[in-house]
Amino acid sequence: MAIVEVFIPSVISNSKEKARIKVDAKDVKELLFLLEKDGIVERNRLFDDSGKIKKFLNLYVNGKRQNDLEIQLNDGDEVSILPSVAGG
Amino acid sequence: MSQLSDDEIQRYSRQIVLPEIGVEGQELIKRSKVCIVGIGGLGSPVAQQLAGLGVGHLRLVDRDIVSLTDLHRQHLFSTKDIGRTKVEVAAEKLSELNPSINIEPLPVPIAHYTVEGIVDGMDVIVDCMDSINARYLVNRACLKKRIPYVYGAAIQTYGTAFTVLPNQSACLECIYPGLNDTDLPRCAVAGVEPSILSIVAGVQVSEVLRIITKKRPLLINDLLFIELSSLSFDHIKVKRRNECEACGDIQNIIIPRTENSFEVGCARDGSGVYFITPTSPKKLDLARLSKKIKQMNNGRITKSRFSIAFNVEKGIRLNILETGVCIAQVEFPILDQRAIQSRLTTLYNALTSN
Ligand SMILES: [Zn+2]
Repeated sequence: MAIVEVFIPSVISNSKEKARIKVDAKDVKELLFLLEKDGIVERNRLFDDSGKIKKFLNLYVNGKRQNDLEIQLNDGDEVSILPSVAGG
Repeated sequence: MSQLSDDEIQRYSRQIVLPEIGVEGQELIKRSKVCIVGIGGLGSPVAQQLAGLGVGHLRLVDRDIVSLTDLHRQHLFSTKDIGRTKVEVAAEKLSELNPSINIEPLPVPIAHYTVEGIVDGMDVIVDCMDSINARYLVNRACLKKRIPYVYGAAIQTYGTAFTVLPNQSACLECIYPGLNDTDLPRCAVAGVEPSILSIVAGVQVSEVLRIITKKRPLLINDLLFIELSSLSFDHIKVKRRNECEACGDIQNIIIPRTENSFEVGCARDGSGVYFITPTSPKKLDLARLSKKIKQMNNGRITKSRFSIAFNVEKGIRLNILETGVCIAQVEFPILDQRAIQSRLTTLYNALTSN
């Protein structure tokens, strides 16, 4: 298991507050499962109908954009979940 | 000996007094060339601030016209400007604000055949557009020409900004890969609060100012995410991806061809706005076009510097720009999208062919 630091802005999380939390998860798949289980983010905010991470969402693992559920996590890793923004 | 006149020293005195700018910084600002692509919700405040600051050459790029729905957030424009090209109105307003700077209005579409020319010769590009596809093209043109690129975007009550130094930092496609406009919410449907636009625009201007006064911009490999709901500014470290389709092979930047010539703009309730963009460069003779329109249609023609507008029939208004861009505003519910597309395209081809 690995303790990772997670950042989720309120536009993605359930609450009115953004989330900056520590989660114990071995990979991205487990991390998202735990976030959902703890009511931090709803499943339909993260995944499309086919079960893939929504296209306009970005998971940054230590800064690298990787929308991949299989990515292994290590102690101290930083994971951010942000929407793509392109309006102007 | 300063290159600034007494008038300029006085005009810019409140910023020259800042240790971050000074006389030297002001001279650099005066000598700088900045291109703003997209003169909308972000582009209006960015343009006003950069013109006020005294940026010597401002290139303004937008192929759109002013609409009533723009005015709650795009304060460079007034109600009387509705229907004119944004760059034309912006150029007028900004030269009233600061008559001593050069303003270059370009009513051109972002396409494979325009984008390199748009960024060429500029010290920095400020991306204020609302289309991810167009943004990808500008990012790639900046990578190819090695020009710093300042990204800003906002929707609803949140926004973001970051800066790209080609071959030194993550580019737009490292951060947001593989998107299409259809994957993203747009302002017309999702809405946008004007205050987030001013905040993001202010951040973009401060990055531009750092670049043109030879300081290192702050948002390199650093994605700033802003939310009004908690009034929070979060910095997320980002990294370049070796496999990035845009900057992975920096010696061979590919500018993909833009094939899509017909585009549904902010359509709502079945009615809406349609854009026709030529797939190769065009330069229309507006006087000749106006004659042609009169032959087929007795309605009133409105001419402005870069465009001609007329009503095809009640509820359908066409604006044709000299660059070949056509904006069709349809005011009734459209049941058959294909029929309207084919009708507008046929009419456009008849008017713009030789
Ligand atoms: Zn890249």
